[in-house]
Amino acid sequence: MIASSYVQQSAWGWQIAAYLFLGGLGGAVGALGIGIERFVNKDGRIGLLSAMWGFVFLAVGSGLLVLDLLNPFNAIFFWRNPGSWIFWGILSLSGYLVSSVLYSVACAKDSPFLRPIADTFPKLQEWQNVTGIVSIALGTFVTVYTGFLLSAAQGIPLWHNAGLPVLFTISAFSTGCAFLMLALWSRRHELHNLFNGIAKLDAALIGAEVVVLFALYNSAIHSGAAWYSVNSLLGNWVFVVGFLALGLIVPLAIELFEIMSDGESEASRMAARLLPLVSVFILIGGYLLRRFMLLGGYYQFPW
Amino acid sequence: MARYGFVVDLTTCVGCNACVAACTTENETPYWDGLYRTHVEDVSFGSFPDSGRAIIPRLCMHCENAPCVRVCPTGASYKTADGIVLVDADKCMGCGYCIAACPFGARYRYEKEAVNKANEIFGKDAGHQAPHVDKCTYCVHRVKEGREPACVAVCPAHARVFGDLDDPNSEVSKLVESGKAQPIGDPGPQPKTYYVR
Repeated sequence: MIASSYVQQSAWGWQIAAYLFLGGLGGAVGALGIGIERFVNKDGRIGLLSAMWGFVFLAVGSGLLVLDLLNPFNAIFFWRNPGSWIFWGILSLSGYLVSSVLYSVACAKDSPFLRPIADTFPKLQEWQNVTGIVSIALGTFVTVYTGFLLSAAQGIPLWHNAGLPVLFTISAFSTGCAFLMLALWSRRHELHNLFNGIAKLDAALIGAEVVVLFALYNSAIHSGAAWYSVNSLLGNWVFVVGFLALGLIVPLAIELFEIMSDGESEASRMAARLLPLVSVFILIGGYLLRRFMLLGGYYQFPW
Repeated sequence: MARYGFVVDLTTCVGCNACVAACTTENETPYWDGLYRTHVEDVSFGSFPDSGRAIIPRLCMHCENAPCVRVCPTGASYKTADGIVLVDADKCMGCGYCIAACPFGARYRYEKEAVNKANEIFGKDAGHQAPHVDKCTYCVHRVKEGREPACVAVCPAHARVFGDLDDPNSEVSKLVESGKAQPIGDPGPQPKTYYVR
């Protein structure tokens, strides 16, 4: 090598970061919420809320992706290379948008306002199990795909590794848990066990996220562009304070305290009251993680 | 069938940028935005006394195992039978995935505003009529006519050599076979643009 320079990628900006965030969040909210409705708590309102919020997040995320395209009309050719992760992303995302609507219509029977819609399509209630399972599978796939999308970019060592899809998947399911805690906050007493279960799952996911982040850090040590990327991220106070501290460590600490305490003390009740704020921190942290992963994407050029 | 490749001779390049000018004119690249298909990097490296300066022309490596082709969802990025990596502007949706995947920074966005400006400057017959991702084509339109790429044709120092890597009599093949010309950077995609150092 004659020389070497590190150059920040500029192909993808905040729109793609938001797409990755909303894709992961939407897929995770759908998969988790529908999974809860199917296998844990047969409450159609939870299924409906999750499937529809998943739909909204994915639709908005897709809109941002389309806005970022130079020539959106040529997206009709997306099917021509099944070896591309975008092919699988568009396929699974579109599939989720359809299956979640079909599933939601069936769930509408549990809502006094929306019941007429469910009654108009009685066949969909017979198929609710199928549309539910398909939505869970597609929602999970969309969540996982967002990480593989980046990791296939060979030129950027921070992305091109086995850890990034794992990190994005865990982070997305953590944001999904955070959103469900926010959405179900008003019913937390009625759904006490379910709510605590989601908080426990979220704490476990954040714990796993910390481990994967450390593994990524460890594998990047002194390895050219990846190490340069890590240093650029750790030198940015928004990443350190916004994501690492407020989006990760503070939520983990408060959730662990809330889970392990007896629930009777004033401190324990305070921790429980902080859960909505913690959820907002996790959601902001989820976006910041993806934004900074894009900002921290550096090439190592041999010149 | 030929297997086209390229050699850049760093020992003779004088950094005059004639290649950049020729490429810009030939391929109507959006120079007003500072975007080119080929560049001449003037880099300093190391620290005194172990320091140096290098003038390194760069262009698309036309990799055998091109990451840009692998990730392109629409198939707009493709490799011809004679090994030239191209972009079909009529199929490119401009998602930027190929730009992110390329380890050599060989691609850029030809934005809508740039297309409009190109039409103003080069007239209605400008080569770029729709926004797309753009890159070096080894001047495939000239190669088809039996001519050299524009950058090769104008290089006063004979620092750029183009030819068929499978033809044992071609200069480019001799330079590569002798080991004088070698790839630089990430060897994974098997770049076909070689450098004499």
